[in-house]
Amino acid sequence: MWCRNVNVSQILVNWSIDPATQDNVLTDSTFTVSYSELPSLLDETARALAEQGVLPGDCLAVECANSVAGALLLLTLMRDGVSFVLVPPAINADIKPVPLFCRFSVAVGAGVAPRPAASFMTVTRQEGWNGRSVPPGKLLLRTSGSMGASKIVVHDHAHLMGNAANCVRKYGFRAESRCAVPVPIAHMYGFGAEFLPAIQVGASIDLQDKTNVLKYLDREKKFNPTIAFVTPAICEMLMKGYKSVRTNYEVIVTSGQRISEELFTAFDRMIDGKLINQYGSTEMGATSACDPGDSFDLRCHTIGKPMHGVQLRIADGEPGELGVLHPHGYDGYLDETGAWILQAEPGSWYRTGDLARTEVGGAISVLGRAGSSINRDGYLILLEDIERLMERLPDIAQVVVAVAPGSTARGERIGAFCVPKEGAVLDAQEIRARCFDLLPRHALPDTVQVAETLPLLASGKVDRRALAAELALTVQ
Amino acid sequence: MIDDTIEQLRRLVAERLDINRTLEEITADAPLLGDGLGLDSLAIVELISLTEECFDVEFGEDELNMDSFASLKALASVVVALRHREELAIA
Repeated sequence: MWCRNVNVSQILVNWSIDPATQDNVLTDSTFTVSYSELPSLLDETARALAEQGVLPGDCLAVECANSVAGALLLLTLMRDGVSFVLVPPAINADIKPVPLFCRFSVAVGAGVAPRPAASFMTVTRQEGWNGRSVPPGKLLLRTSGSMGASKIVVHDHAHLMGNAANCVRKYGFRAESRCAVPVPIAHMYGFGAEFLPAIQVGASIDLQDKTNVLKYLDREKKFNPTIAFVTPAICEMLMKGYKSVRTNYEVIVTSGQRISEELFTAFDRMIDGKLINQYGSTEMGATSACDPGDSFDLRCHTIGKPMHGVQLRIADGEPGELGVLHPHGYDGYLDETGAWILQAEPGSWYRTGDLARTEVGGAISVLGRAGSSINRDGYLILLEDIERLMERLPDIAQVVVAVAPGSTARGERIGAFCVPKEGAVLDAQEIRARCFDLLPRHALPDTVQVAETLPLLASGKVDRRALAAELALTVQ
Repeated sequence: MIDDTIEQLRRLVAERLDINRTLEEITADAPLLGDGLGLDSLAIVELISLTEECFDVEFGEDELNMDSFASLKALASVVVALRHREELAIA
């Protein structure tokens, strides 16, 4: 038999017979299952995987929508200590999100019935499997959305549960909580900070796939959530739909990218002062957040106190790069073949790449990224990734992406400058239209310009600041 | 009236929404979400704002549902009803 993760297994058995939790539900609006049904449903799911030839010790690539069926698959893998990589849906044929060490990929779509288990999953043997695997009991996630060339972050299931327990403690999850999940459960935020904590206490969960303001309002009316995890983009979207103050929430957590003071203030008012800004990363999981009872000023401007057992420090004077010492952080990074790029030493500080400063009273505020990466729609994007992909388009010699001042609803505003190949003529509008098929929506440049030449620094490198300044002129 | 509204909405979607679709693709009956025009969450918010601005109406929470935004035809009838209600309120 597979090596069972005692924690998840024991928890689910307990909740299935406890009168306080057994009738609580997991729902995706189309399908609903109760905690009392979970142990047998997970057994069924495990059997269906075995029937497809999945062996103990295989590492699975899992593509999973926010659905009850998807949740059953993830819980089965956690319960049985199976290692799995959460992969984003493939954007185009060039990008293969399944790492080479996965012998199988398993896809669960949105809106599929949670039973029978054999028919909600599409299990595919991977032609390119390299014969390797990873140790059991790991969850793996890509660092950078679906842009390819990312590192793979390794987490131990036991540490994920520790991370989740920290969130239970911070946000007050309990059996009576009703948790709305409009963020993907295939990311660390949705899975580690909301879904798993809800499971740990046996709370009801409403999974929303690709939410929008209309869907959210509809689900909110029917499910009456007390906890929700959102992103600034979701806050912005709900501001369009909320015409009256919501009093049903005990806490709404936002994370993924910086939320503007204006939006925080407006949205916090609409949910009766229950908004919390969480700081975290794929590598460390939930790291720091204010407590639900903290003052507006603290909640709006700082990341509050670190999670239980976590330490923060700011390097080399202030503002400086934020470092994290986390008892439930990652094991390290793997490459596509399953070889270690970096193994985290126990007790070593993780460098976040974020600039931070200590505010009066000791709370820490995060000011932005320290390097050439940006955050849009909750995804960390390296500008070079966009450039590399856009340079595959015909007739383009070089692409440079610059960040403009100001922001859009997706996050930071970005513009691409494209240099044509010699003798070629480029059409900016056409390039942008092609980008819709080439790039995930969050990485799509807001503007595309054709440039015959690019400004250079004395070193011969492209002068990105000059381009940013040029971009600033075009958006005004 | 409803046909005029549908036409105006089609042009609004084609010209002002950032979704890379031509006017021909944007039909009155095409589902706005999912497999139809595939408006994502931001595009829906944009469409709500543009519609309010262009027709000088304001959606209440009762109108902000999946049925109202099933297609441009459905949206047009909501807009017409809202305008009618506002005219009555003024009169």
